[in-house]
Amino acid sequence: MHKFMEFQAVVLAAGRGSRLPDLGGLVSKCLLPVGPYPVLWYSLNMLEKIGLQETIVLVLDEDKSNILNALEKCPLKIKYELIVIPSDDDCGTANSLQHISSCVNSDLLVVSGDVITSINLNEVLNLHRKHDAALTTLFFDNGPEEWIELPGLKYRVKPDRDLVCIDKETQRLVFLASASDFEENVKIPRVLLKKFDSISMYSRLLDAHVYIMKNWVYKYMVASNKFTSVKGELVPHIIKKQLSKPKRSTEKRGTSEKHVDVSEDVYDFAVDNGYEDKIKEMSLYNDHQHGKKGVYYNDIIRCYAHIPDKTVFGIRVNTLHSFYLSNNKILSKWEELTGSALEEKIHPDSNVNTNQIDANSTIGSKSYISEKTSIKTTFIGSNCIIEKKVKLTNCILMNNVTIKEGCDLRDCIIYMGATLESGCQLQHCLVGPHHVVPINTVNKHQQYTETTDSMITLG
Amino acid sequence: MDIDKENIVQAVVIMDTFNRNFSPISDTLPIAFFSVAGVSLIDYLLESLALGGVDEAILFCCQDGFKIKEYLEKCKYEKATWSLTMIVQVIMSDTCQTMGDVMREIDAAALVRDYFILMGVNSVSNINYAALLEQHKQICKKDKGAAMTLLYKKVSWEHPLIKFEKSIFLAADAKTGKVLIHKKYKQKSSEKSINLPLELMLSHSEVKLHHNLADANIALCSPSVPPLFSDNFDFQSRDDFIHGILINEEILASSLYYILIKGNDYAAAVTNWKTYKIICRDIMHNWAYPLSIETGTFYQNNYIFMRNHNFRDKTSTLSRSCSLTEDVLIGADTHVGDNTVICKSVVGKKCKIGNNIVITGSHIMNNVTIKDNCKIINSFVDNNCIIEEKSILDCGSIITSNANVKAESELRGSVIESTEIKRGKALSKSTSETEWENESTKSEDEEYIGLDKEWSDSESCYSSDSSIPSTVDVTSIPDDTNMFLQEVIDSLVRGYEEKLQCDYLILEINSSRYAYNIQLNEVNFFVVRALLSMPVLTQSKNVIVAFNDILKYFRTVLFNYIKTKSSIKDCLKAVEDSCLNCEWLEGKAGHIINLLYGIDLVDEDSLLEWQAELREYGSLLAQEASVVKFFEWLEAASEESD
Repeated sequence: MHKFMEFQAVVLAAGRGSRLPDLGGLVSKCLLPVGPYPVLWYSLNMLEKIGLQETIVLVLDEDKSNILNALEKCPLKIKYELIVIPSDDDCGTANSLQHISSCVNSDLLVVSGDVITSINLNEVLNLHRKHDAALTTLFFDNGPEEWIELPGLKYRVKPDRDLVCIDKETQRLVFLASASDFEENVKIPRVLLKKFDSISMYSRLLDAHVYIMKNWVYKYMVASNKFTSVKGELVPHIIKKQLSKPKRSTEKRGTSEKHVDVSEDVYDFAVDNGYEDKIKEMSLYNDHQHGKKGVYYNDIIRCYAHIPDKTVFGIRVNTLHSFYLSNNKILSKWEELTGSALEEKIHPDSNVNTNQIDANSTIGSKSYISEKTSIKTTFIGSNCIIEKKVKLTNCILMNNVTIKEGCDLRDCIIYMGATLESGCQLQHCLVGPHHVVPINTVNKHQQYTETTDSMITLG
Repeated sequence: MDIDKENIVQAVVIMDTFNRNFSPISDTLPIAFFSVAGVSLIDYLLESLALGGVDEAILFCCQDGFKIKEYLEKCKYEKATWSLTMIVQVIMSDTCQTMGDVMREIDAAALVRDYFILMGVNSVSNINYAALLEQHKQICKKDKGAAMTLLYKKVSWEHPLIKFEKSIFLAADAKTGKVLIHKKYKQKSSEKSINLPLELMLSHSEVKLHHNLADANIALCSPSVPPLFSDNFDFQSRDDFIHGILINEEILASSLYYILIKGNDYAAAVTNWKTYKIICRDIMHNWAYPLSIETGTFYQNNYIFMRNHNFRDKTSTLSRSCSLTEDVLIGADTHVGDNTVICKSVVGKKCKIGNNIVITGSHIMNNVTIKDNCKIINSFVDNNCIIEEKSILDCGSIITSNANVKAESELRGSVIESTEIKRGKALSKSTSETEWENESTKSEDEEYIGLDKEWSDSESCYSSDSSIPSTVDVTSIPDDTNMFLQEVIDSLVRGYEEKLQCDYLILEINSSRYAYNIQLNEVNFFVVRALLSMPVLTQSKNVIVAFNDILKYFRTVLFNYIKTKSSIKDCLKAVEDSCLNCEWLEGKAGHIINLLYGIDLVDEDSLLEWQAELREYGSLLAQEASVVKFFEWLEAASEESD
């Protein structure tokens, strides 16, 4: 029997993490550890919290088994179905979504696999429902980026910034573009400002990459086949279309839906199939104060943006900065995020022989911690070996890491499979996957990575 | 009565509008005595100031100050309500020509020392001035440089207050309300998009964008405003001030803020006939309460409210068969005859309206006699007029006081001054009529507002102003500008001979500009003229080669002035002017334009516009061979590039 669902959730977890520093070797973004669990778990958990029972997760082929393994170890009730998409270099988010066109039959809730937030998604869903929106998005207003000293080489990354215009009165999302699209001047259609009278242009919002789209938007995207990225192309396109009016007369609408062809207008998809028009006509409700236009300015396509309160935690783990920052904050926000305290900080399968572990650290399964070690605010993955007299402060250790005797690490990120020989003293350093740091290395702000050649020799 | 000297709320009211939007009515009647819904603007003004908590009002009159003084005496004698709580001072000065002059005068006389409200006599509002001034003081506490807080009312884009005014685009920081961009658009400007500097947008986390604000001509000022006007004597109007502050924010160390007038508060300015009409209607519809007909302050409860927003004075008489459709105000002792239909109109005191008359959307002042079978639509009839039988007034006709309109005359959009008919100047008439036709087709589905005629805003028609210097020769240019021109020529000659740096020349020209108080567009014009009148050219055998040389040398100077579209216009005007008047340039206009086009000083669009303009008013230059040749070449070149 076919089950009716209001929304189908899709988690995009095929990102390569192009904004993260290149450390040689493939690290899939969605498996980066944040606290005790990989990033992907947080988006799935968010979906689970609002009562969704199943979701589709789009993954790359090479990551599939890793992801399955990693998620098995996490507490999740939601059913997730991994769908493999081909790993093309220029395959964007919209292209990946097209791969599941056969399973999509209702409105879509697209969530990026790298978002960690404490928001109750129902707020966004309700905004979408309330206005019968074509597209609803979520932005975080976190204020200026927090400065935090990052491990690795010092370099300044100019963050991508979006220019977002939102009409405060109606919560309509009326303009979205990347700041890098403009050189000196930002061009905004004048009609926009004439039509909406309380527009604010935001330049420091963080797009959560949570999109709720009408089924027709998805169909339109598949049929027109010209979009590669959801954020970069589809969403701005739909937002722009809000200003236009259907060209063809009304009698033609609704009948042309059968023969789908690329040249078709967006309005062939944006069809009301119920009594929405009539209801709007009869209703006394209006969403704006001034002017004589009908409700929603008689727009057929409507996009909305939800900006939660500033206290809501929201971050996207797509840069080194946000990765490090999210690890830094995760335990203090834990209850907010999951609704319950983190009970199992030290995995029962692990072998811990020291009592100098503070409450802000977690240890993954099958890890071995020797005696006489001191561990503070450090996340240790699974299958790690920590030898004697090691001091770890403020570090992130991924899986299969070996730390030899007498190391002292502060503020470091150690990628999977790396080994630190005894006596290393590192501060603010990045150690790439499968790298071996030689004996007695002392350094600050360094990045230890393999060249591709030595990767092969190491296996 | 003991008033706390420290906290006196002062308002400065400028009693002139410095434009001729209400000409010819405003020629004889000070704008303060303009009657809006039966009450003069000055009454609204004083009443609203007193209600809004103002303790002291300074009325600054540039003309007819005595009439205003006299009127105030009368009001005080009659114990008008405002006179009990507010001190009113009248300051007169005949020398002030602009709002900027007024502010400089105020600074010189040190009339205000504290925060004050600055407004025009044409503002009609029921806001609480004192509270808003307090808000401005709060802003000043946070930002010491805050000079002025502008007051705006948010309305919809279709609202007539915006539609018939130059619309304002305003960008401001959402947190503080600091104005970042302030731009005025021409009426019916067809610009499709708005450019916002990226840097500015990225440096503020949230920027509010407004494009549908009605300007009430009310501002809250810091004590620094009058000195700022004195320091920058090119500030002529409030817009100059706003513009100057925004572009020189760092130099002047001042900033602007804005406040939106909330909810039910009303604020609007009578700026032209359209807004005049809207405000009349708003007052009758009670939007400006307590400035309304029913409150009794102005009308002493003499009016009877009938249905459909019809009001009539107790002493007015209506015949049995006349009908008032809606929005009608009938003054005292007025008689309305049989079968007369009045709709959306104001009729003053002691008028005699005959039988079978139709009055729609019109304003009829006091003591007017309208004989039978007349039709008066969208017109304005001033005091003591007599309109004879079967006359038709339509399309924004204006009858000034004491005029007689002969029987069976038919007037459409004409202006009648006592007894003789004065058709508007041929040019302005033709433009206004076409304008009107365009509009009538559009406005059919909309609610009717305004006199159905476009009244040219004297500020906006720069092009016609600038054509005046282009037709007169050098000798007849007023002294100051002539001296300025001579000084610019001297500067340039010296600069060319001594090979001075262009930057210094620019400074020199700018200082001469301030010395003679020359407007920016005139500077543009005269710099180009000066360049074309340099002795190097007049003495040279090959003018074009010589011009090319000096053009190369003064490139920086030119590009400093000629940047925007309007400055390019000035530049071309100057070329035209010079070529027509100077013998050494005879027949060389085309070459000169070509050189200017060659260094990218003028762009193709402006050239084509200019050509069209030349043809339109039949300039001799349009037929000159070199010019014709140049445009032929330009068109061919542009086709190729397409």
